[in-house]
Amino acid sequence: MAVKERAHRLASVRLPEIRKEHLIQYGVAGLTACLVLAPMLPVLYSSFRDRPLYDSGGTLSLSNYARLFSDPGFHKVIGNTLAFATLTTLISVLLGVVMAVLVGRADIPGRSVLGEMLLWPIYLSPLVIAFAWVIMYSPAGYVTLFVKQSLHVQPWNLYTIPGMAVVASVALMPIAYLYCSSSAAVADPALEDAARTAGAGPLRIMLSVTLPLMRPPILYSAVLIFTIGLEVLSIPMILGGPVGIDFFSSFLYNRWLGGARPDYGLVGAAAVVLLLIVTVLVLFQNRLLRDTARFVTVRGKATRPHIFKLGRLRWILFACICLYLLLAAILPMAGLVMRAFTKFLTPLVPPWRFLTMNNMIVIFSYPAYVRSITNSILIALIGGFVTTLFVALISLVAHRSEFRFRKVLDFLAIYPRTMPGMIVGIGFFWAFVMVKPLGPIRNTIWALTLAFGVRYLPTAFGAISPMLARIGAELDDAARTAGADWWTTSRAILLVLLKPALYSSFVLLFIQLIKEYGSAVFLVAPGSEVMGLTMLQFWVQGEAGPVAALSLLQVVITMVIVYAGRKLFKVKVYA
Amino acid sequence: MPEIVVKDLSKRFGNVVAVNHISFTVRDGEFLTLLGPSGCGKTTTLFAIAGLDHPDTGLIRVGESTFFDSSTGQFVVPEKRNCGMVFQSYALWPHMNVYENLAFPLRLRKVSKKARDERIAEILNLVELELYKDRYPHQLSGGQQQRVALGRALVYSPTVLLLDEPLSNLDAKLRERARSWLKRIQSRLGITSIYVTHDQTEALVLSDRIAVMREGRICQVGSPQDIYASPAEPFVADFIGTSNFLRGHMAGAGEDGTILVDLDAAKASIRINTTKSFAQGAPLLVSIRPEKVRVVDRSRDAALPAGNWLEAEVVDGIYVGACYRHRLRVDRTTLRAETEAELTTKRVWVSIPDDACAVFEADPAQDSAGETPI
Repeated sequence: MAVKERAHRLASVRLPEIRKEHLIQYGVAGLTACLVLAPMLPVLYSSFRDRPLYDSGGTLSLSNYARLFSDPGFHKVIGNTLAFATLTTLISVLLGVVMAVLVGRADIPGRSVLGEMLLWPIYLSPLVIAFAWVIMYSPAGYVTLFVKQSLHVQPWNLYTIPGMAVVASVALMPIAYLYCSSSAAVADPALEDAARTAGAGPLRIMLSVTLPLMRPPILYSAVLIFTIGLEVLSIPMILGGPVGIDFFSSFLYNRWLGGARPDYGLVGAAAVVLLLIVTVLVLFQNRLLRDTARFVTVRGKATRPHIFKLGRLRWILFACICLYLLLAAILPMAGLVMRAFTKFLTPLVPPWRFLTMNNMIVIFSYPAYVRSITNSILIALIGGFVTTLFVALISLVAHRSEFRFRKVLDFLAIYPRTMPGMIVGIGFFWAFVMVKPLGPIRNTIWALTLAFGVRYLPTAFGAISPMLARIGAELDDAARTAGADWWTTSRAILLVLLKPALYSSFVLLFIQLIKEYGSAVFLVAPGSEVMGLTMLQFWVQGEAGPVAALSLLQVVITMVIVYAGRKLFKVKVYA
Repeated sequence: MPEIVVKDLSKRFGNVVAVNHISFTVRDGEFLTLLGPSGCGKTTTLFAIAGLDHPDTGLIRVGESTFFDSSTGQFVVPEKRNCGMVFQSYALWPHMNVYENLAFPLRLRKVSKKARDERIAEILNLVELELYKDRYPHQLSGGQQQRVALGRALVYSPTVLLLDEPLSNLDAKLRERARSWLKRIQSRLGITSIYVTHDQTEALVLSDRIAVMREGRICQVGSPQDIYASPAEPFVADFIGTSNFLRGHMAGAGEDGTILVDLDAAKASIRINTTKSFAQGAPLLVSIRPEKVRVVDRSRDAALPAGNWLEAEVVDGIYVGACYRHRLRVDRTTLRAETEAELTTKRVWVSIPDDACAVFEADPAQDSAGETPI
């Protein structure tokens, strides 16, 4: 009797059902947490440890931080980095805003073509832009020498912090332009009409209404550019290296790879400092975004913004923009092409005299160089594909399920935004050392694919989740009531409708992954070379020709994929 | 077809009580409408029955199967409930054509291709869309989309049919046609249905019974005739059709089941038929439909029949096609009345028929007897 009663009681205790969707949801969230935390925790841990993580024993202390902050070199590094990032932010935001207003809102001839051309640098690696600028504008550069010969003065010095900031601004200006012009394009013309009826002229309106309303994108892109300025490796290495100006990124690079024995503790501490600064900036940026209601200018009504009439001034400004494009993008790219196909490049001798295919031949005759190209393409293809699918799953779980920790997942997916590429690299380096089952993929391109994928989780998330938000929830509801479980609904309805976003996420990731090198610095091994690092390596050896050739190849691959994306999938990246 | 039992259902969103401990039963084969203004909890109730919303407390049972029971923690996921649902936006899957939209639920139920095609043909015939099988949702008109949505909800022979304002996106003319068409299909199939709407005409035309909801509560459940003729609360009288409200006080009960009400706004008393009883002097609210108010020209000196006659002045009038709507001033209050002919004189007699009024104990906190525009 008693047994029967107990059995009855047991039966009435309801065990939570384990369903397929729960397995998927917990699986996705668990994997995301591991991937995002994998690089974070080892970096933190190594910064507090008095010896490398693979050595047993050791104690936790603040000694690494003490050493870091008493290092006079580090003080210089901080100063240089802040000066560089600030200057870069100022120049690129100023350029971006002016271009956005002129090209987006004024009657400049050929606006749409100019607008496209202004975005070009965004497709290029800052590394490539730096090479191209060095080829043309460095003290021994083509244009510099040309000016020097004709005017007999040393016109400028690119190897200074302002010089570097100019190069960085060329690379980063499109970010500011993109944010500002998309906000300028949707602004409510009634706001300007109101100013006009109140008696303001076009210039007055531009200064008192249009520009202040652009404050959120200006601030937002400023923070973004400042963050990139803190962590970018290419420009400090290429332009600062020769004259010994050190920055945060090159400091990390040199302390790890430069000396005979890497100072892991010091690098860990420096990485944590950088991580903290960037985290604070990103939090600040999020706050900015939250409080933008008073700048809301887009209402339900579809309208077109007015075009400011500039009169004769428009031709002068048109010429200025063309000049900018010529000097900043077209000339350096032309230099890159010339350098790729010549033995030497000097204004003293016409380039066709030294014409050669040798640089290309060099690249294709060394297996390591060929491998860096195939590896980069492979990583970009597979990494882009897998990351896109994985992020699609993340956004489905985070935004379209009753998963208990979906808010946490949402946060995790955008968290890598706060992690500079080099730190992701350091973190994964330690993760592969410490987690034994991951051993086999260490030193392979899969290690790089993993690190690159994590680094660009937020990029993919930003491409997919807004589209998901536009798919009405009643489509899921309809599928659920019709008898489909969560996973079937996600697969048969949502993923299919998300296809355009998945394509653009893939193209976007491909562009990013093919040029990524920052997070590869500490992970690369013989056999897993990627294009960016191979270029750096050539450059350090003084081989500008092959670098130019390789850069050109990278640009061509990117162009092909962007074009294919447009033609095949109707993907308009950055539009 | 089973009945639907909802008991003690409640749901909060943060501090807002969306559904406040409501109970009702939909009989086998019945068409019940949840009617109320937006935010009254009708859609939340419907979504709770479909399983798309997780209620806080209560019980939902359809036939023999319990969908939700907060006392045992039971919650059946929506895909296991076999409900047919038509959404306000139709929620047709845009990447599937009409055939595929209908085939999807059948595929999930592992119906063979042959049986599936037969069933879809049958349903498309029912919703009169045989020729549109290969069209995609965006190639269909609103009315056609609405019929596809209904077809998709019916194709897998659901246990119950749930409709969330399915006609609200159609224009007035089409809505009227869709209404009678929907009614025909429902009574032909005899499927137990719950219909959510804020449109009183829809509710009156379609329903076997109506549940009027307000602020998460059910005010009254009854047949359309009951709800219209004898509203249980002033809110129901006001929300279903239009009503004039007159404030007054209980002045005495007659032996013939009538009571005498002293009007507050006029120096007059009216006699009303009612089965309710009130304390002497209790504040009352009398409601009367505009079409029940009789108006007689006061300038003609004809003898008036017995009844509640009040002196009134015509304030204004508008022509709405079927009748004239007038506002009449009776001392300090306004009455709305509908007449067949236009009133040409200013001074009229109005009569309040004693058997066409509803009378309520007035809630002193609420003042629903204000002057309302026509």
